[in-house]
Amino acid sequence: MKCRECREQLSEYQAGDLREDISRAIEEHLGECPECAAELAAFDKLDNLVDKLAQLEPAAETILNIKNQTVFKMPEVTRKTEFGPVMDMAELADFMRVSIEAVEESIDELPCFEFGGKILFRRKSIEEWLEHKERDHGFSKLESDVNSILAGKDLF
Amino acid sequence: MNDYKDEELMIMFKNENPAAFDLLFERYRGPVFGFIFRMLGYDREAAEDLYQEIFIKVFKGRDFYEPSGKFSAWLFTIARNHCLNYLKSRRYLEAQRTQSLDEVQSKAGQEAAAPNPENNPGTDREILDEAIAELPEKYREVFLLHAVEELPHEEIAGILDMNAATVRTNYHRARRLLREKLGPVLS
Repeated sequence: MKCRECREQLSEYQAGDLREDISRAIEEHLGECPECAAELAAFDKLDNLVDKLAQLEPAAETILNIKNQTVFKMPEVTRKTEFGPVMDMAELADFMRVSIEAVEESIDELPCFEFGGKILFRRKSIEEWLEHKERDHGFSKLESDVNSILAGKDLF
Repeated sequence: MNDYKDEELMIMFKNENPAAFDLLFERYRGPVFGFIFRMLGYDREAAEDLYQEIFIKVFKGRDFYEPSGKFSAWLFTIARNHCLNYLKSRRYLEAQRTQSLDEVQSKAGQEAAAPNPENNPGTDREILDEAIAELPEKYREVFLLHAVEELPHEEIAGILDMNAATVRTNYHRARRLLREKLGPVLS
């Protein structure tokens, strides 16, 4: 093999992209030709240099701009603010500012009636139920405070 | 979540999981920027603008991603197309400008402003960066994707819409050109 032919294929040889017989011929030539062997070493040096190329980073401001513009928009929730004397489940959820699932979970506790295949709620009954709920919560808090004092715990 | 493959994260991101997008962004922010910056010949301002456009495009175009393909190939295809479009428009604008100016005067000005590696040789890495920037586009992109970003030839073939054999040929041509350009640095 001649030097020119060898050098034209050194990059492929080094990457293992050549047929076996050609690779062997190059290998033989490299063993006899110090100039071509030096040329192969130059390709090794190129690879080493590429490995040391600086990691390039964008400016912090650019990253911030990207972060600001890649935010998932939550679907807008439109809640009803005016309610009639009778409400269905969705209206009650809006009325109480909770999800429909939360209403469904507490359905056994809530004052309701069934009509026309729908579960409905009288607004007045719900308001009364809420008042009880508030009182119960106040009483529970009072009871827990008394128990804490009796147990010698400092409340404040 | 760190153990998830890119493609799995992409599916989660398609299902509007913001943490999945954040993780993909963290994985690729450096490599994509490096690729763009070097493709544009170290024009930082243009690279920053393009980089921003690319990630916003990825975010908005998540539904176009096919889970059967490699995420890196999809991402670098978008990045590469943006770079080529930008380079094309820059060449057009430069041609327009040259026509409208007194060519002799313009040439003299450019020569005075151009960095002269003889006066300021820089480190070997900087010289390599310059040599990469001077490679013809078709060799530069293959070299950057394979040697720097370490993508396999087959994946690059998909990104560049050519066969893997041509990718290999262009890659080795790029290396030979770099070897010539870098001359004594590598000896």
